[in-house]
Amino acid sequence: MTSQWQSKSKKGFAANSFFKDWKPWAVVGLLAWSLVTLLQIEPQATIDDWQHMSSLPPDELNAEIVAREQKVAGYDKMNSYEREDLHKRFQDDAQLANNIQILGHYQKHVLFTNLKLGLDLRGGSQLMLQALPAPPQVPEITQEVMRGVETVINNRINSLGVSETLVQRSGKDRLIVEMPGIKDPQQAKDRIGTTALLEFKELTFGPDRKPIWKDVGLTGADFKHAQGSPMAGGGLWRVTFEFKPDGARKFGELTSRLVGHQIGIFLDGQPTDRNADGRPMSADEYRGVTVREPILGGNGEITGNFNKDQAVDLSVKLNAGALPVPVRILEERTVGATLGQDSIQKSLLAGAVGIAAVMVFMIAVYGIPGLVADIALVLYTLATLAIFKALPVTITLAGIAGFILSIGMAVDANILIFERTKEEIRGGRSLYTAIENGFNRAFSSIFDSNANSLIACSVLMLFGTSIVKGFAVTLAIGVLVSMFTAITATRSLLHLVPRDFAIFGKANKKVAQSMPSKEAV
Amino acid sequence: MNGFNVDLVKYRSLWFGISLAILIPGIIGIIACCAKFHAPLKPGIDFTGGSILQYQFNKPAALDTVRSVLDDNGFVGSQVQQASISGHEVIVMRTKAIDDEGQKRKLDTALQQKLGEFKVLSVDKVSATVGPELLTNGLVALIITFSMMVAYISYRFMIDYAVCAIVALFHDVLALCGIFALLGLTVGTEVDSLFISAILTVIGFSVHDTIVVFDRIRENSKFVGSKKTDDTGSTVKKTFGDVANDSVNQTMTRSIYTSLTVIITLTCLFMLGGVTTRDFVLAMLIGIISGTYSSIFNASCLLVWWREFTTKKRVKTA
Repeated sequence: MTSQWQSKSKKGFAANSFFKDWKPWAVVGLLAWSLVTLLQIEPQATIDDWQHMSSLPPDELNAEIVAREQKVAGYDKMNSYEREDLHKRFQDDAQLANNIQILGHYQKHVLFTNLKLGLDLRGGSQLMLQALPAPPQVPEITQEVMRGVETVINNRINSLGVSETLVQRSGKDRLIVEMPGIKDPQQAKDRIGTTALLEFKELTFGPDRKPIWKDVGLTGADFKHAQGSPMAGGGLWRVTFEFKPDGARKFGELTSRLVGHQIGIFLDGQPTDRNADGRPMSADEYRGVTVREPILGGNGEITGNFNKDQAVDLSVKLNAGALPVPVRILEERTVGATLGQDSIQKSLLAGAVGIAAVMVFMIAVYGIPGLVADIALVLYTLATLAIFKALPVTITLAGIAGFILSIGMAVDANILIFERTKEEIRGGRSLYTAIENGFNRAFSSIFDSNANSLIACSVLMLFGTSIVKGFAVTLAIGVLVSMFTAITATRSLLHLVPRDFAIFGKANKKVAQSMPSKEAV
Repeated sequence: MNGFNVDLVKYRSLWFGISLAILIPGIIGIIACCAKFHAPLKPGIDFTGGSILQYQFNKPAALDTVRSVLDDNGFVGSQVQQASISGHEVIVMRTKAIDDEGQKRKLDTALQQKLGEFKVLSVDKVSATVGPELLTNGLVALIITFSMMVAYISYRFMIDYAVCAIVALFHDVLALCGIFALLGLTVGTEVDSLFISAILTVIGFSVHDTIVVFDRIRENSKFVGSKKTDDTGSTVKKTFGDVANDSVNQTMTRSIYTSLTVIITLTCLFMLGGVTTRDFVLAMLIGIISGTYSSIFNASCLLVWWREFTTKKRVKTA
């Protein structure tokens, strides 16, 4: 709203020229975009269905999705690409239910949004793994080694059947594994943390008749496939395996050479045989199995007093492959669903009450301009959240802090402008000029202080840890949006206030008299 | 709240005195913390390494039983406390970092046998190697942020403005750390990595606040040398101190209102927000109150001081 507008409005209908300025358009556009991005509405039944699907264990969910796909019209005619797409759509729906924030119910419809919440708010597990060098084979962790580790960890996590897992490399030798909403983090850690290096060894005896297990160069990496299966009678399980052609040849040679001798199978350096308490047998007692005849078919089995879980777990690890190097869990953050729920509910309530209190404060201090600032604040909040959703930004507790700080800065812009406007009025300017001057003069403070915040944010985004980054991203977005809304929304809306209201302690008599058409606005 | 008229420059020693009254106990607290915890603040597991398990038992659990289970499973010297989250009793166990997942599993089974079913509210484990890294990363980020800010403010304003803004900033960070050091000594408040975010927030806010005041001083500095009437009625030239005084008074309303709005939101978060963020919010509250104070009183006083000092020097050398 510049002075051009003033001159134009003298000629014709005020609202007409009002929309010739870009700022009101920007405000309306931003509001519309924010609402469309943020709000979703679905019938209650659909939401219930999503929630039902998300509560199913992975195997059942898959079966359910397959069953539903069959019912989709034209499924038979779809090519495999379309089918995959359909499958993914069903899966997305099931995942959506884990991560929606219901805002309200209206006539059997649910109004909701789905902001991406961090693990600290929605519950889940985050692990930071470090790959450890294993000399002499792997003296240092290279890109190549990390790629191997990443693949294996990815395979193992996928076998857990948890949706939305994320494996991310961080730095030279680290991996960050995120598992939102995981029910049994302990199982995940057991599965991820072990190297799962399966080795075949040959039994020899040292001079003092002590057993010495000798490497024969055959490992779990030579397997094509492994599977846990129950043994006849007794409830014990075994792991059957099939060698790759190369491994089968090696295994054939080995067993031909060692007929009548013992071969041992070791997992991560410990015998696969279990004692009654489920712990691996000590290497001193272990005697392996005696080779009765050469095994040339490339198939075999590992029996070691496994129960079902142990056998399945081992077969999963063998199929996912052994890690090229051992890993250790450097950091673990697990937040139970209850605590996450508690945090998000309380943060939402606190945020809402906080914003409401600020709005009351603004009205109490500034009256109608305060109300205008409040409307701008609502627009600001909606727009920022919509950007969070669209990018998407993962919202964590630290991110909420950044957001709250940016609310403070957004309100500050308004306060600066209003204080300046009041000063201008005290200096004898007309209301219109005072508002325009207020904006122009306050702008250098707003710009400098916000530019400074943005500098800080950009450094933090580059150098910070993940917590700090979350904070910096939300603050930066908030600051940018707040500059925009302060320039467009507050300014446009202030000029829209009917002129017979006394704002900033001054009725706009002069302007109202010279431009009666403005009453129409 | 219009028309503040505080004589800033005249009561300079009072403003600095109030700051010192807060800072000195804080510094003593930091020194005491260094002696007791070998760190300026009581470090949480994020920095020292360790595990925190928060379990919610279905039946009330006796702390002694929990302690003995921990001792039996090789976690001698662990701390066990009771806390309340959303009205439920929660057992908080602080142990050394549990590196062996088998050991953790054994502990869980033992707890279940002795005390019945429980819900895992949260598990945090940080191995001792991560802590120093986190600290170095944080410090590097802080130093780079500081230097970029100095560069920007020097570019937009002048170098003396930048230095004063950064000193005011140090004041706020020091006040915050001092109070948390004292809290660590008295009620055992630990700092975690969220505390770094809180410091960053305070830095952001403090500089933001200071810049608004400085912007006004920059705008008004054209009035230095213009005529004014002093207390005795005679006409004198306005000094830089007078201009700074006017500027601070002109921006005072805004500074107070803005801080009030932030304080309102933070107080809501403090009262109504989750337990996990309480210390974090408290840190921001302290920092923001300090930030408002320092940008009104310390930053501009320092600037005036600097200007007076350099002018005198110039006069001497001339």
